[in-house]
Amino acid sequence: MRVYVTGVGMVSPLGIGAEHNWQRILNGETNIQAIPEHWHDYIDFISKYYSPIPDINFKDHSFTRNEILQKDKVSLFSNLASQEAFHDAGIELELIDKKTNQYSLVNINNEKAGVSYGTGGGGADSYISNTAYQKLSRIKKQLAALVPESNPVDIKLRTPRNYNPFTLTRVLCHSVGASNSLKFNIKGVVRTTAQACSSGTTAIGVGYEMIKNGLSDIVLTGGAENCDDDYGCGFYSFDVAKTLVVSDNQDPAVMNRPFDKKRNGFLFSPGGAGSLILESEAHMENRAATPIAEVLGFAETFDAHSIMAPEPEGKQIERMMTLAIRNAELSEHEIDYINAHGTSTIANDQIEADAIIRVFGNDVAVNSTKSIIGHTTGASGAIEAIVSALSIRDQELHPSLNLENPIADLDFVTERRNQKIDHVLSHSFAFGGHNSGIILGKV
Amino acid sequence: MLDSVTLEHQICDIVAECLGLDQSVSPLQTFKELGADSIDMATLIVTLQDEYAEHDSIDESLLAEIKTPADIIQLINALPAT
Repeated sequence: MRVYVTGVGMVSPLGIGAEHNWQRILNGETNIQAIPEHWHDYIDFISKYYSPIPDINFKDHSFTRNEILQKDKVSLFSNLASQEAFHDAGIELELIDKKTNQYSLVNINNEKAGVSYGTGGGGADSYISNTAYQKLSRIKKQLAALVPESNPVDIKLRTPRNYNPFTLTRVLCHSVGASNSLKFNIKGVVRTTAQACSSGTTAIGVGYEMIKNGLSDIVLTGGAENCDDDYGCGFYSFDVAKTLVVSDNQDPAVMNRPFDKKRNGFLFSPGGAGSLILESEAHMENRAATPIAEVLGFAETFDAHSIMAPEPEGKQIERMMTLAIRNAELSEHEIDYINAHGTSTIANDQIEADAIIRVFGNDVAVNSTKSIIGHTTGASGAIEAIVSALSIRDQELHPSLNLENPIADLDFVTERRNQKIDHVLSHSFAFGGHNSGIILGKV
Repeated sequence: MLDSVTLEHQICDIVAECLGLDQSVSPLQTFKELGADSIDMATLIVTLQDEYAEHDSIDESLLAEIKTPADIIQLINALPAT
């Protein structure tokens, strides 16, 4: 059974909309900013820059007050990207319940529709902010009583105004998948994959298998993340592990350098979302939909080496690449382009580049979408899969930014360029040792 | 401070929105009559707290007594001015 991508949607540091993002990515436009000033009230950071998601007024996108109260932003990002993906696939949405703002997929059998969505941290922001309320609100009152006039402590002890009664369901990782099935009245198999930075890629692979195995005719898939909070906790957890980019007096615009000898860490992004609509060939043809790309293969392996560091020889990355190619019934030389994990960390990029050369040789085109938007963690695999699908559609590759002194003899794409692309490998690696990759093909 | 007519309209609109009702809501209709369940009430109360009250300024014990939009209006009118 053949599986196709028929719609895409995206929320990223570059804004809302897959086409909007794609054009900005092709142009190499970035959104690098200094971390919020008030984060420094709590602790000192080594890294000082990030790639934030622009403020979104969800009410402008038909979301209701109830949804905004009940869902963490990770679910809202995901729902927003999914809404766009359904529109892009030509699937009409009909409002069927005002209270939950639930839509049905017109002319789609919702019992044979599924969801496979990935997220790293789920609604971590909701946990952090509501726990802050629980821990600090009484102390704030006591401190305020001691200093009733100026109340200077209030500046640093930031808490929400109330404890959100939906904290539990906002936090749990599965809410990302469940919120999509709830919003779009999808009643088939619904899965949420939590695999840190490979969550999005693996979720797409799982969605592909759900169709191949006959569980679903159509699957809403993708990845989302909201690693943002009022205190910089998410940022700090990466910063303290010394994984983030440090400017070292460089221009912040050029410090993020995947596969460059001067790279020193990744550009943190709080996340975003990438949603894709996958359909079986028969389902797609029955409704005369237009495919963007075909999903040809998927594979995943695990390092079993370290909870944080990649296995230095990259053996399981290499095996994942080979398994994905076999699963797609292709040979190594048929892969024209690799959308790399390409984080800009010292360890990842060298291991990844070496594995690519061992499997594919030196001639395959390679770029890093993270060189432009930063690392959106659980959303990154899905965003990069969309970039890969649009690269195939337009036969065009985006530049890998700031790559002046490559660490390997590979065909790194440093300028936007047109190229014949029949097959793409988009892969992701993650803390713990997850390695996963999907292969997309030209239709 | 909002005048009483404006506040009544606002509260009734928020109740209708939270409960997903098409028709307008009367202040004296009970939430039971409006079909509200416990999740709806939790949603409504936090929405109203966000809209009208500083944190912790609503006595939690009073929330259990709310039966109609008019009860909410009375509660909000009793809040200290901010």
